[in-house]
Amino acid sequence: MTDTLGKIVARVPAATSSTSSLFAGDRALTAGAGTIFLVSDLNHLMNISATGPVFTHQGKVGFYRGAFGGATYGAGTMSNPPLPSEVTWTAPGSDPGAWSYRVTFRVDPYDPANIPIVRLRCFVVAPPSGTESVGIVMCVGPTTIPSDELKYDSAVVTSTAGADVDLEVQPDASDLQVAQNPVTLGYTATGVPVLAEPRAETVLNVMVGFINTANKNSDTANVVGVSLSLEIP
Amino acid sequence: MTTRPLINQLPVVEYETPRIGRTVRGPDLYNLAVLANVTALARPMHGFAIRSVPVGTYVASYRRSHAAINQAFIRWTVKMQLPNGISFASNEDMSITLTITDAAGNSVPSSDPLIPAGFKGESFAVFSESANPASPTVCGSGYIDLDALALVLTDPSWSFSFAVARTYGSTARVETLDLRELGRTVVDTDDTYGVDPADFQPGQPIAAGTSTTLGALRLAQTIEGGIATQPDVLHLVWPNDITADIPQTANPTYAALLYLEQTSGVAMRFRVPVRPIYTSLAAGGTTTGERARWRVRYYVSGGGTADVQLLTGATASPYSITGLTGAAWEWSAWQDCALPTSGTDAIATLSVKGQVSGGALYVAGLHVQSY
Repeated sequence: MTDTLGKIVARVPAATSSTSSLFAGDRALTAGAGTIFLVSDLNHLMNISATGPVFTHQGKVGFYRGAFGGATYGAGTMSNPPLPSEVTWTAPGSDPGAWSYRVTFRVDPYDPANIPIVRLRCFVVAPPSGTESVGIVMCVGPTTIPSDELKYDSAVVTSTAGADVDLEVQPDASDLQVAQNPVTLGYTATGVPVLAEPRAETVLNVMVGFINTANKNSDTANVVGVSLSLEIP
Repeated sequence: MTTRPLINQLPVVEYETPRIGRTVRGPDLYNLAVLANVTALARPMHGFAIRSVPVGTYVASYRRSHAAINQAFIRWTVKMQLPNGISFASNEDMSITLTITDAAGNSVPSSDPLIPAGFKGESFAVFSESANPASPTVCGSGYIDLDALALVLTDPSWSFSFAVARTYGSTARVETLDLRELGRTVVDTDDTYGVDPADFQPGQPIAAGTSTTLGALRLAQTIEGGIATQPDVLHLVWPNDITADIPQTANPTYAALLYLEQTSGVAMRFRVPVRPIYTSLAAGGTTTGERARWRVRYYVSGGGTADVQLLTGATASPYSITGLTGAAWEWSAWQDCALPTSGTDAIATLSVKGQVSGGALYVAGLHVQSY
């Protein structure tokens, strides 16, 4: 939607009881008020309200699990760029060497025709030996099962000094999951709980996984400063 | 009071729809009302997402988008360890006890009916098969009545305190612990925001009303609700435990916090997009930045006085919270800050540093929020 100034035009609050209130009774609904203040502001709000950070995390210092597969746990082969199926998606943290995220959040249309891009930003430091690689994989979809069939983006970092990583995926409508549930608020020990406004939204599941080809806890990698966001398509 | 279903679809509104010399048609303002409702009511973004935490107490900061957002979804899941990709471990049990407080000292305990089942300290069996990515054990899942909570928690700054316990076993940990505000599906003119599109019927005069009733002023008021519905930009949580590996410093001058470093001695950077509200990206954004606020959960040992600062890259950065004292976990007051929109794609780079006059400063929570 280009039909916008790209910002909100500051004005007095609607509750202001003065002649500077543009929409008070008997004031002319002028072209300025009717277009710039309403059309442009609302088009801009429609777009930016679909974007923004949705998840931040401090990351993980010291992960070392290698690619899934192989006779030894984590001793599979990592492609370049890596595939979702090569990540060891075991319980994050429970396996002290593995690290991954699963995040679900609401996604709204950016404008009547587009869906925001999902972008991962983080800083990754490869293991100090200098001979190993770190794989970063982000896949999105209507399911929480990571697979190569989902849309994904991935990268490899080999720098022991660390590097910024930016991954992005453009979801489409088939990647979204419709969540429509009756809502009961709070908790009741007896009787029938009262229904509130129903939940009705479209959500997206994002899975982010990390691979350290070293696969040993004496040659660990770091990922820090993790953010997931919805951005302009 | 008028209550109508919210039309969560995006009408195309264009400058040229109302034309000089042509009859003003009802849908001109009707579509604007629909769009205002979507932006103010259907798209809240506040909440938090805690990941992969073992036993301990975790306190998340929350501040409601605005008074017309009245429900939130809360859930926690656990996955077990998959030791070698083939065999399974035995089952374990975990529980979470939730207490919600506000900055004025009001409190809602887990025994209160407002706290959903699954957050009252019940012990949940975590099945070993949950190591499969597709099947985490959902332990607690429910909805929170924000209006009812606000009657008790009168200060707008709330804290969700989660006491995570492992009642049987040794390895399971919480995989996800999420709170998300839910968009409205109803427009209620008794709420702070929300305009009834039926105020703009064809053939009728354009009503001005008031900001609390109907018509054009109510439409303008609802646009302000859309402006108020801004995201949490940075939300981080650590255990409230000074013996754990949480951000800390004993440095008398501003320095990166240990365990919040990108590399040794360098503060961790978070690159996050900033919504342009009053600044246009078409003009290259601005280093002055968009309005935001932040607060920190802190503990100062050894009788010292601590300061923390948030670096955002905006003209007035860094933004300091000073004079923190006391050997007990507390949230600081909110400090206003600004997030620049002048970076490529309006990406702001945030980092935090701290200093303490004596003893040590510990941090267990950071919250930066556009507003």
